[in-house]
Amino acid sequence: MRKVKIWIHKNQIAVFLLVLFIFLFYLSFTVYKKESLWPIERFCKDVVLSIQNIVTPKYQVNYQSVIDTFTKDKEEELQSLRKLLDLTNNSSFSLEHASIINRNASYYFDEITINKGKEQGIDVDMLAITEEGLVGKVKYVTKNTAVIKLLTAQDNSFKVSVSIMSGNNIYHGIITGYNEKEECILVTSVRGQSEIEVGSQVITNGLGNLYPKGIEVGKVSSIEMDSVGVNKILKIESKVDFKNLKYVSIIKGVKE
Amino acid sequence: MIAVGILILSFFLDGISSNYLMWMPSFTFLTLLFIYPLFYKKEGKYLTILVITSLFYDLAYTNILLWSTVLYLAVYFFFLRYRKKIGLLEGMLAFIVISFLGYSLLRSIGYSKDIFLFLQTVITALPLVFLYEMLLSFLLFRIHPKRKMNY
Repeated sequence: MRKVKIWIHKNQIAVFLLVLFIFLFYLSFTVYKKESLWPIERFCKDVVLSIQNIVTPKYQVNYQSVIDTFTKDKEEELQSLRKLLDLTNNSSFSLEHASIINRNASYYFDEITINKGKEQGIDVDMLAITEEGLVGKVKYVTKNTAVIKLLTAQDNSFKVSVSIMSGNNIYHGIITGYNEKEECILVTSVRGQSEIEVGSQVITNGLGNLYPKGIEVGKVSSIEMDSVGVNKILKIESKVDFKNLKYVSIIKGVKE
Repeated sequence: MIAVGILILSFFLDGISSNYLMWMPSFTFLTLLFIYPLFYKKEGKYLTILVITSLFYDLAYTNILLWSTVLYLAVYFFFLRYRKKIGLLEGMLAFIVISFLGYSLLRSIGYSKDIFLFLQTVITALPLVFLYEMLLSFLLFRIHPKRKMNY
């Protein structure tokens, strides 16, 4: 033991660099690859945030406007989209409204925690929305809370398939990131030949059966070609004010 | 004991204020800094409190176990240990150091944010850091008037 101490003392810089390397490896794994919280994390989160939930004001969700996002206002649009995409109306989902009780400062506020969890039927990868549109998706879930990764996050793990409605044409792309300077969502993998106009509406298309279709993401604000010159990169302006979120609704259930 | 009480309050204040502030002054970290002189010649006890608090902070808030622990320990070993007196300016300096350390670590693994937006966040947080330091120094001075601290 004494020899180890002497060796560490003699090689302080090497030990420091080794520890730093291990920590960076661990950090990288946690940020990009971690799929669920550890049991102790879930327990502590539930206990601490349950206490915090008591003193955090609850916001009255405008239920009707959130429901309208999917039903009344969008019905006509969705019907035409279904016809165009030749999709059947066999999706069923319900909404779980929740207040935000914490924002994660370590991730520059790109993660929020809500006061609903597994007990209320919330699960990983479910989408979070407001009446303005798509907000993010559930990353971790505990008994009474859920952590939502916002669209503004930088880790490129938020891959949701979307449709771009340009005139009578529909094109497909994937949300792959966020440009914080211009405050816009980035959609890539859009065919280079596609004729997309600025102002075209972008909605989720439900491909892959993971998410419901027809959720508003935003409108195209600018279009550019990627570095290879094969695909287009779209910048999407969202109506959601990510800095002032007070509540969200979680979409439970997808295609039957 | 009262210092631990203030620490627990700061811990919950961090969680609640995150809903309202987009420029977190990290109340728990500042409290850990300001109670340091109360543990004069009790470094082991202080380190235990620091590690337990930061572990709880990570378990409840950050979703990255050991994140705050590593940052707080780095500030302790490279900054705090060499200063027996913690004043308002030292507190602000430590806040800037820990913010840059966190930013550098995340940037080194590719989780990057624009440096100017980050700087803007840190600068915006400084007035509240200053105010909270004033409050802490007032409270701790009232509770422990005989301690060796330089406010």
